[in-house]
Amino acid sequence: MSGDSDEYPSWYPVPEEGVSPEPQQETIIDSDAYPVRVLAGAGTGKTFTMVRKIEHLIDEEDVSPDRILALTFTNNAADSMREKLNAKLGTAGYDVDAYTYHSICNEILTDYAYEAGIDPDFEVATDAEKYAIVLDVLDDIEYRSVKPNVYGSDGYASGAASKLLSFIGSMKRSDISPGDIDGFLGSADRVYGLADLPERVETIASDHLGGRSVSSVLDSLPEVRGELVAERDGLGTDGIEASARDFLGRLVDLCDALEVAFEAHEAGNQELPDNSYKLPKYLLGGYANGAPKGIPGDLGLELADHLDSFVSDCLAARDLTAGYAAYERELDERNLIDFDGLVVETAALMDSPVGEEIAERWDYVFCDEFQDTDRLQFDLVTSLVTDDNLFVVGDDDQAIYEWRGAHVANITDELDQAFAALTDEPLEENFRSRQPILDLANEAIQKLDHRERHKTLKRVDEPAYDGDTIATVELPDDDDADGASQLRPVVENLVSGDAENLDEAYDPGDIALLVRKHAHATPLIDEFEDAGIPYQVAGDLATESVGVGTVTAYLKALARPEDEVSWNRVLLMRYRLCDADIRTLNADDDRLVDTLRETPLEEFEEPDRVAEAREHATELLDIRDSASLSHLYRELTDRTNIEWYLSEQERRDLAQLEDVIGQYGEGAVQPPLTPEFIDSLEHYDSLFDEGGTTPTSQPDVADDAVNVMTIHKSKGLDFPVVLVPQVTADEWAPSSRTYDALEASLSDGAEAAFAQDFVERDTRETRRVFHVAITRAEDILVLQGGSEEGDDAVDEDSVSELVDEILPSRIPWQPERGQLPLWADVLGCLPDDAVDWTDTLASGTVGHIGGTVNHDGEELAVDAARDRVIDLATASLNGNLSPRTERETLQVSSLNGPSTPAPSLSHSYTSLTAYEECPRSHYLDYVVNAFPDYQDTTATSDSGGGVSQREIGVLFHDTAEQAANQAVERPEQWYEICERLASHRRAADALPAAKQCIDRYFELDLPSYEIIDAEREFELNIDGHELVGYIDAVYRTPDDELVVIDYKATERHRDLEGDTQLPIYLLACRGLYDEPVARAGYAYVGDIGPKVETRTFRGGDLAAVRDDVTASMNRIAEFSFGRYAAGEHCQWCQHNQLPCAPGTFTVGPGFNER
Amino acid sequence: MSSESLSPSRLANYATCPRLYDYRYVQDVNTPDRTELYLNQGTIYHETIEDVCDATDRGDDPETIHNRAMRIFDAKWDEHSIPDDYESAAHQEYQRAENRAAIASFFDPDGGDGIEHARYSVATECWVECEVDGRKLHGKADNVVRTDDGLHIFDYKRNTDGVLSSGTAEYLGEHLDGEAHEPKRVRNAFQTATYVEGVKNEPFYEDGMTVRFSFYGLLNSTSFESSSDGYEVSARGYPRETTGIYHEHRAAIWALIRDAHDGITGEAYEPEPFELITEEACPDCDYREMCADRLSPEVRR
Repeated sequence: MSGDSDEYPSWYPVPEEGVSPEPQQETIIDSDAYPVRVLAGAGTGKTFTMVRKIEHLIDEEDVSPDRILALTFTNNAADSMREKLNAKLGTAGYDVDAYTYHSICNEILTDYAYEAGIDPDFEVATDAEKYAIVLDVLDDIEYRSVKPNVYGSDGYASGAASKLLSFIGSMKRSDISPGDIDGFLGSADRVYGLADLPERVETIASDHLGGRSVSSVLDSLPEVRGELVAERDGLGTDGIEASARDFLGRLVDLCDALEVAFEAHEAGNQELPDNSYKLPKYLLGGYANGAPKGIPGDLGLELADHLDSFVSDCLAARDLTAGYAAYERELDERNLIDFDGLVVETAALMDSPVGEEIAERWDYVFCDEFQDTDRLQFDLVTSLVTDDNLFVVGDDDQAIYEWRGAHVANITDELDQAFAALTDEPLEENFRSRQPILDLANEAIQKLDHRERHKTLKRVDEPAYDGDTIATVELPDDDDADGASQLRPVVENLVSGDAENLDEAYDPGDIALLVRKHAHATPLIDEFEDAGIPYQVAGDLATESVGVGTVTAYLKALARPEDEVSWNRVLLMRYRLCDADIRTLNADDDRLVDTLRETPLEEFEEPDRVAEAREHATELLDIRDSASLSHLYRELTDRTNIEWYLSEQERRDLAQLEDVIGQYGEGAVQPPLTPEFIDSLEHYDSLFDEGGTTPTSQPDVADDAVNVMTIHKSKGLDFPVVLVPQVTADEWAPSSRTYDALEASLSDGAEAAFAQDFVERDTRETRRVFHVAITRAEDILVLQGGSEEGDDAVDEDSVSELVDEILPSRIPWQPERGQLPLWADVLGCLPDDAVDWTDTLASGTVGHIGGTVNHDGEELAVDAARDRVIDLATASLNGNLSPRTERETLQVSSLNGPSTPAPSLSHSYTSLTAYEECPRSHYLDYVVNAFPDYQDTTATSDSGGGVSQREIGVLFHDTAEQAANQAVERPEQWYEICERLASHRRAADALPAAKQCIDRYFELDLPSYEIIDAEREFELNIDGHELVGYIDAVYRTPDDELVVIDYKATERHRDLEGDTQLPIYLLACRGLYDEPVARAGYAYVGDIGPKVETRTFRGGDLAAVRDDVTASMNRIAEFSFGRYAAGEHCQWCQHNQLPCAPGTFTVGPGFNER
Repeated sequence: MSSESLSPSRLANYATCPRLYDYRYVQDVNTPDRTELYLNQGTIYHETIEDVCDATDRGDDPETIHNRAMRIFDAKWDEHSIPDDYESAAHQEYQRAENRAAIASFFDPDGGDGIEHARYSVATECWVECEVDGRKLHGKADNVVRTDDGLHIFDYKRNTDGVLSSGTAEYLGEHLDGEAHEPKRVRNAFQTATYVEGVKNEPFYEDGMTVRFSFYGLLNSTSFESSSDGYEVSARGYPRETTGIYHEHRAAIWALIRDAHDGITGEAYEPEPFELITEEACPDCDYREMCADRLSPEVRR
């Protein structure tokens, strides 16, 4: 890229030229065997392998790219796959159909709408639209056991609306239609006929099994058995009755097993622990108050409870099904298809005669993350496969979406059954984590019962490292302690890097805090706030920050102008009105917003501020009803410049709100701002808590802040350091879910309701979640946890063992089900070199963290200094500053602390130029990353009429790079790349100007030269300083000379004589090319072009520049806020409201005149 | 000291947080529309009871009173219940059934408390005033019932959850000392004081009468029965008397009243004790989003 920018966007496609597949991967890539399943462990490069295999098919096997379908879960993943293929294969890469499991459905349904019997103009329903429909169909619910309250007593989420929403979600994901449920349940009378059954079972037990000895209970068992058989035989044989019948059958088996055991005891052949005679009554639910004395309280085997919860789910389902059916009708009427519906409709279409035709569009189907697919997606995939040409990758150890419908067996048994010729290829070589981390992951996952396939992860090419890899932190004994205060010093130590245990200092962006649930993040976020540790919270974790609250309040005020609380908030926090003026506005009996617009300005103490608020409010209210939500939001942020008032942290938090607004803006007709939208904002988290945690969305990762996210969101990501808080049995215990048994019986037959223990299933999933968390770490894994002491008496343990022994195979529930001694397991699996940080890095910081500030002859810690500044400011506001204190200066230059190493600065041409112009602006922009001054947005404008010059430049540069990589030589091919890039990054505005740059480029001689390198990254080490950058292009001239070219899309002309940018590139070329490169120049493709100006730089020129640069970098090592240079450049400086800038540039908030 | 007469509700608002009082009563800042469903339901049962009491004579038989109550309830429901307050017709119907069940049980001919409340009602919606230590108070009592030895004032509520009780009366003193924040119970105490003292200035009060005060939770106990035909709800109410607490904690209660009264008339709106208020009052406050006192520590952080 040009000197205007040395950033390299992370999404940018990089051909992985330098990376060769490892042997395991090579085997898979070259193999002709289909269908194939690759069970790939974490960090083994499964997507890489899949992409390479597709390349191989196209390059080596001459398969036409458009005959290949590649499916994955997230849009990010699909885009990145497409970009990677494109980077390697050129435009052919774009012809591969890379889709998400949902977007392929959207595509197929759009193409075959007629055949599918739907309107081709259908839209995908947003969460907001779904909720609106649910509210509209509430009266269709047949309220019997479901309470009609919409706002539940325990909060929003427990009302009828959220019950219906979650019911529809559960059913639809498993392809269960309202008709299916009707068929299974039958009439309300039939379901209510079963309502008392659990109680009758309990009564049978309590009536007959109260004997006080094994022999007396044994005598009663036949009677109990008989009554259970009678209950069973009274039930029908289909639907809900078949499920209940099956359950009673299981209890009959239990009676038989108990009888055998008790008989053996009576015959002297079996020892039974004390109190065993209480077991039958307990197991059948005969004790009114849970386990009696002698039976362990945590045995968890009152079996009638399972029937009870199944029946109450069925009762709720009986009520909700009519609401579900009405919801489907409404969707249809509004021409909407919801996310789950996309797959349902497509699967149905694939089952129709046209299915074959659709499948024939592709010869090969590639599937990523297959363990996360649900039953419907499995059917979809199999119906798309022709001639068995299926390639599936996934990791059953990372299946963590079973709880929301994923069917883990898809990648194991289901595939085996569907494809007899399936071959298996393993991927176990890991390129991510250090071996001790993998050892722990391997060992811990062994605890997983029912693990289908066994993989052992092994690290290859592990780089040298000198530091701790696995660290544990033992939670404090105090029951209430969340341990957040332990992880704060851990992060501070990681960032400072002073501790011996650490190989290096880590940037906050290297660190991820991965949590099991939201509540685990909250106390840590508070600690980060206090400590000033920057963090970014990924989409599914709610945060509440003051700045975001102010933006939301502005939206609320615009939506409901009578909402005076929100106006007050905005006037206070955005317009900084003083108390007297706010009181003046509130004093009037009219609506505040009217008073704001009508009161004469002279009545206010600070009329400028009031005037600004008035102007903005008037403008925004004027467009409120005509503008779409996202347009209004943009106008709000542009006109009020409200973001400027937010801290860096708050700007990160704001992204979440923007996500929600973006979601509302996806439809063809965007809704205007309404009170309903505001309501949905308030309830968004509780309603779509689940929706936010789908495998289909992946968060953006911050590179300058600790990433805080749920483990579910972290899938597919990796971080040098991973922290997992609160690993305890209690905190990680799975909770039971509604409709489990109902869903199973509707999907797999009536007898599936009680065939497995769903809590046990969820426990297994929890272990896999833990596995995912562990395997995100590259260098350091910090696990914080603790265990509670078991307090079971010995004889109770023996009762447990006995139960285990007696329970017949048809009883799927085991003693102490759902208990997950995760921390004990961790401790048991720790590799030898794991260390305990509890009393070291978790109990205090090593070295000097945060620096100090000198004031008034005192050395203050950062916290104290912050308070001091605020006290001084308050004193100043109140007119209480004494003349003496006023003269004292805060020595902020020492903020980084004398004993902490300077932040590792990486220089670039741009940063050096900035330093030469003004050391202070360099310090602010490159050392401390200060936020820009308030700018009156309406006063600044780019010459491009709204399109930034930078955007045009970046678009042209990226086009040139891709064109070079694909050896594309014709202008129309450049256009094509440029258009695609513009559409990807929504930069359509910049497209015309970028195309003009392309035109100008093709008027030059350069296109006829051979291009050697494009966007070549370099890293120069000069005197211990690191200088990095990118060279736009290296060409070979017809005279066989190499020439470095820097593209300039700007209007500024460069003088080659005093130039330092090009010599830096030439210095870099010494390390990049075998032959000498001495010529370099600028290619102007902007308005002042087209022209190329180059010159030859001699060895002496380069040496001089090198010396200059070295001197510069040495000086920068002593960076400070103190030095500055004022001049022309101040007009572009982001900090020109500081007193250092000439007066003409300083315009402060509230004082701008238009 | 001012001669301004204040209601228990205003005093309690001040006791919750002086700044809240400033926003609500002094600056009169409108809060965003909230659902008025419970407010309207309150109007419905209050007016039903008022009308029944006013229409009832001592000699009316229970059956007549019951039927009258149900008739009035139905009319009041139609008058005050607004479909827009509810997300669904089913929700409105459910709430109607619950309220109707409460009225039916209150005026149960077979021993419902409402039968006696109606028969012996001396005054409904009774405006009372009093002055103690130079502080004037006023309020409106829902129902004043003649008892054998005096008067019993009732304040009808949806339920009496969290209402001042003998077990929680000690919190009044703690609130006074700034050790606890108990504005709801303080409000109950203010109400009790105002009505017990105020009713003594009414013409129907005679010297030597015993005055009692109770809150009455009409929906204190509700149940929901589900069957294949639909659901049925039932409700039952009962009182909680606070007269004894008033007499026992009289000194603390009047000290609290004086503090709040003087704070209001002296226009002192700084929220104190700040930490307690932040912790206890801010989370549910309608003005939390605009409150500079609450926002400043967060911004500071």
